[in-house]
Amino acid sequence: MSRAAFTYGLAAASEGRRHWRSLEELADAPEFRRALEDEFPEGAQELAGVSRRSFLSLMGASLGLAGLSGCRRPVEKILPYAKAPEDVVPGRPQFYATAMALGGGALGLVVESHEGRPTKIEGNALHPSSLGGTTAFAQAAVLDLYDPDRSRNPSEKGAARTWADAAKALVALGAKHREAGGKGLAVLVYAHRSPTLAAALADLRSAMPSARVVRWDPFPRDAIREGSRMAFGEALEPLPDFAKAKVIVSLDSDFLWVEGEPVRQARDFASNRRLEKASDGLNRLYAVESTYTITGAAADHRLRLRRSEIPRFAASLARELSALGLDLGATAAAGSHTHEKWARAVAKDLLENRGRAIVVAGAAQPPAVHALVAQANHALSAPVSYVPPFEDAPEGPAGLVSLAESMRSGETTTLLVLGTNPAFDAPADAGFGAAMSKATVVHLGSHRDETGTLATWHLNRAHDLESWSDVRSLDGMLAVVQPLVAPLHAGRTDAEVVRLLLGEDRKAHDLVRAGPAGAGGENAWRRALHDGVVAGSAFPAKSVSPNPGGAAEAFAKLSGSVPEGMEITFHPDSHALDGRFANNGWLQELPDPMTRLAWDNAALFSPETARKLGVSEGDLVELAAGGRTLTIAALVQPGQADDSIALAVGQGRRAGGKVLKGVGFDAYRLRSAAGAGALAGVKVTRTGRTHDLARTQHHHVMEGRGTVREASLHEYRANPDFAKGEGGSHAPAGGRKLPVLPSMYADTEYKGHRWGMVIDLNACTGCGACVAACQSENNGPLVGKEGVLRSREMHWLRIDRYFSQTPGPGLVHEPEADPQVVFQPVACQECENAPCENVCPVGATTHTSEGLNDMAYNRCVGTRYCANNCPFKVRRFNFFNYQKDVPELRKMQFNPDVTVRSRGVMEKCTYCVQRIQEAKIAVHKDGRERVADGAVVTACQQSCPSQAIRFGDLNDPKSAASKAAALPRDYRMLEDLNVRPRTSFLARVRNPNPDMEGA
Amino acid sequence: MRPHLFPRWADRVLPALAFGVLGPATTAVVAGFWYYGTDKHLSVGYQPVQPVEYSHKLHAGDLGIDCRFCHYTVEKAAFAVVPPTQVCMTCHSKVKPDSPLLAALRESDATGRPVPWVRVQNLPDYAYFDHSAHVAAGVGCSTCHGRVDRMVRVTQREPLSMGWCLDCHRDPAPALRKAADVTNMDWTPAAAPPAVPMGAAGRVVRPPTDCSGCHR
Repeated sequence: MSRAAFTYGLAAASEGRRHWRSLEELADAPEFRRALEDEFPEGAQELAGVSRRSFLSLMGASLGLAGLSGCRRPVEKILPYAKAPEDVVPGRPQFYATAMALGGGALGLVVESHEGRPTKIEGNALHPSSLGGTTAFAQAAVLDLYDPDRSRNPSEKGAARTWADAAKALVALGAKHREAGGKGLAVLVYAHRSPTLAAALADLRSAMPSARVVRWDPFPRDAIREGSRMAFGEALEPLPDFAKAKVIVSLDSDFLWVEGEPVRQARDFASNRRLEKASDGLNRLYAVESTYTITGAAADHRLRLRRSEIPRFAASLARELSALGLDLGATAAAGSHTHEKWARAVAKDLLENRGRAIVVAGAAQPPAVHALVAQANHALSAPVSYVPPFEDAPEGPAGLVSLAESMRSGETTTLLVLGTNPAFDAPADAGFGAAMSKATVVHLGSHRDETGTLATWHLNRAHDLESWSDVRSLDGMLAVVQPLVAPLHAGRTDAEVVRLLLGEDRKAHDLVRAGPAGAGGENAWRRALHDGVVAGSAFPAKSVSPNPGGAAEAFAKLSGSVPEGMEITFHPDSHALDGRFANNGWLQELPDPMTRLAWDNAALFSPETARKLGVSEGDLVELAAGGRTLTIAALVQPGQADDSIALAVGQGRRAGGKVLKGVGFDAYRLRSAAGAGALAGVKVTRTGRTHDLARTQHHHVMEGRGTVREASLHEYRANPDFAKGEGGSHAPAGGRKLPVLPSMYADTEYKGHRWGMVIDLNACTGCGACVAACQSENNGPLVGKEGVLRSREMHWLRIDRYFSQTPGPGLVHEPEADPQVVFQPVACQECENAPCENVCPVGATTHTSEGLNDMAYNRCVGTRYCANNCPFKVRRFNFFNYQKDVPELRKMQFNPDVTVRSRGVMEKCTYCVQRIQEAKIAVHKDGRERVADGAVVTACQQSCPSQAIRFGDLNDPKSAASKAAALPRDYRMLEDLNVRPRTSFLARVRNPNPDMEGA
Repeated sequence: MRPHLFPRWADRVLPALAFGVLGPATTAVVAGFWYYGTDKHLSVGYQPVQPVEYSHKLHAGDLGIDCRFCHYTVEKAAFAVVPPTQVCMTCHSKVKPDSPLLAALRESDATGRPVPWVRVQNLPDYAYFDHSAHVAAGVGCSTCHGRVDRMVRVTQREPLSMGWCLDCHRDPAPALRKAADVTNMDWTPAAAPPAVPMGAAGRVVRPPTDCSGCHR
């Protein structure tokens, strides 16, 4: 037996990378190895100088003696407060409203805090961008607060300093530049939407008129605003109202995940997919995109095009609309369009649903496309409103290019970088990192990241959960960012640092209070803090009239030629977003919705392109474009456009934490300023080496049983019960109805609560917020890339992504190139006849009187028979003590109401039993019997942006869960096994356009 | 090489050892641990020294202070808190303000650091106990904690083992009191408890006997 077999991931998978299992990677390899050996003495490598026999006898003796020490009672202390804060009852969590910036807008949050420690983030039902839902990024943000890699103090060129030193330096710098009227001073700020910060920057500009303020976002919304300027004469942000839309056309807009305000958009989109009444219709979504996104997965029709070809399609669509009589002010020139048949059918559908049809375009599309889209929406009377932008200033790469140039030329001598990481995400041709050495750079950031390590001064920034600030969502609604805890490492906020430059040392709270949130007086301020929104603060919608020359200008811009050949498109990474979350273990391990990739990013190739290039999955390929190269692993993704390579940026980071070291590939190295959306002229070379890609999609395969059921709207209307009964995978119109199957056990009558859950596959977008929420609520461990490679990920809830092909007339899809996608969240089904319960030799998993399948961790001895017997494979086993080396700081996030599991223990979804018990106790204390519907909300249910999950009492016919379970689409998985799961699903119904047969 | 390595009498050694020594010895050890290694023998009587020699006998017994004056969250939350220093100081800023016995208390009040009390009634971390649910049901303090008003130093009187808890969960009626009697130390169970256990909050008490009632 070679040593390699027992190195447990110490050996690099490839490329000399090391992978780790615990959040705090023990930095020194020998210590790590020693810890490993303590775990498994039988697999230990020999210690130097100790023979195997003496080692074993030593271990045996210590093991034998170790048992005796257990007889001594552990002394536990109780440490009460010295002065208890008012309103804090130990054991009862408190909830505070706050908000965080998200993409183009903001997300209102309510954060649960145990004894002053924020532990769980929820959405704020009162905030219009959230309506109670969140995204996976918002859920995982709480872990970033307790990240042990966060900077704990300012540093000057690497030497630790205090904030007093830093403040003095800032004041001095500010005074120096003020004398020169601000000449030589530049501020680079993330594309913020904070009135407090805006006020501070405005004051800076008025005190120092020559100072430059540059906004930066790796995925800017400039093109959208430019497009509306072209169309309507002024820069505006469009706010589509998907709740009112019956037909939606998405041109490269992943609005369900990342564009605009995705939580609100997902909710509104799903509201027209519920099919709750017989008279309910379904909306229809057309998606045109280059890579498979969750918006494309929700689409009823999808067209794969290279990103650079989408503008031509937009022109084509506009031409078809004009041909059908819609007045857009101009038409496309002949010959400049593509896919006419598709465009014609879409145009017809749009016109037939005038007033309830919307076209949206993604921020990566050029302004001309947005102008056309705006014109079309206006002509279609689409339910889109327009509001002024937060700041009509560019946020794109041009600003960074010019800043870098001015640093190189010496024009900018001091640069203040606020909350952004330009040394990592600036355009590759700007040379920003190198230019930074020419100026005094003050970096305010949460980690000593790529920018922080190059900067002169690195100042530790307060996390959103420990800051006072404010933020406006896309529609202008103002929310106060309220801290849940005093800054853990004495960090400060952006506005405070800008004020220090002005010579003012003011607290963020005072700054926010002096801003628009506090303008209404004390009562209004308290109301704003309580609700999380300032009532009536939304921007008033502007009425728009189309610019006469706008459409012509747009068409002219779109009539250029499209570059041929291989193209690269850049997208935010599902783990790191634009790079800021790369050190967040939860997000790294959360599988990407479409590729099911964890702990990595890859270059996505379509099957056809991969075949052409001779590239297969896991091959390391070298991509060369614009004189720059990147070696990255390849992944073959069905649904990817041909000759288009999708790259996710944000991984492959070089500094800023232990978690992100060696994870992924840095695609920013290829991203130039001009090619920020799509980069042409790419050459692909195979290197001959390979890379392990940790994907979850090959695990937990359902082996062709009828786990996901779907049909077209037409089939559903013909047979509403199509999903019931025995169904093979995608069995059409009603399988054989199952007889009531006999059981060995007497049927239990559930007289009290009968907990059940219904998951609507029509509403589920596959975003993964539920998985992150479950991990946050239930103290879910991380297993690292090695663990995921061995199929040992510990997510209690997983999302299965199935590629499918709807057979029959009306739709023909090439299965490999153009599949459809359906997502299915699967957690413990809490079967009434649970096959796992019977086989536990120690009775660790039992059935409650309310139908829950309980898991008593302390009784489990780890035979894993239950996991073996579970047909849904939802039981997760702690092969190692994943929580052993967790640092004290990170322990603060743990939910005290849920056990933290050690090694050797099985765990699984419990329907958030801690929340159920909490609700029951509360109700019993009042002298009542039953918990009201809606009092118990599971973590997954609460976080879902589109409200796809409904949980409640199936014995209560009026509960939301009962009503959903009574719908004709409702079915249970693997019914023929007679396990009687309590979780049921509402089958997916698609709404294909009958006119698009063969399109 | 002789045909047999061992003499014939060796045939009787192993069985004699097994049945005569090892068997009884192992049985004795196992039985010993089985009986004496339980909470009833290990935990009952635990009486650790506290940083401040607080006497419940004086405060709760002689002075008659109700349990809830200090353990004020017992009706609201899962934990019945050990009172923060400021609760003690409500009296002891005026009563015996210079007593050497209260030095640790005054130090806590001055520095803001908590008094490090030693926990007496302790359940493992995987057992979630909720005081407020029990108090609302009508379980009194003395039922589980004993005659605290007679304790000079807090002692654990009941084993607080899972079996002990389940004994009551399976038959709660004898332990339930009216709301007014919950903190009454002198209360004794009725001679004939009611057939249906009625709680102090006016509903039939059905304590959980499922695992998730206490293990989450």
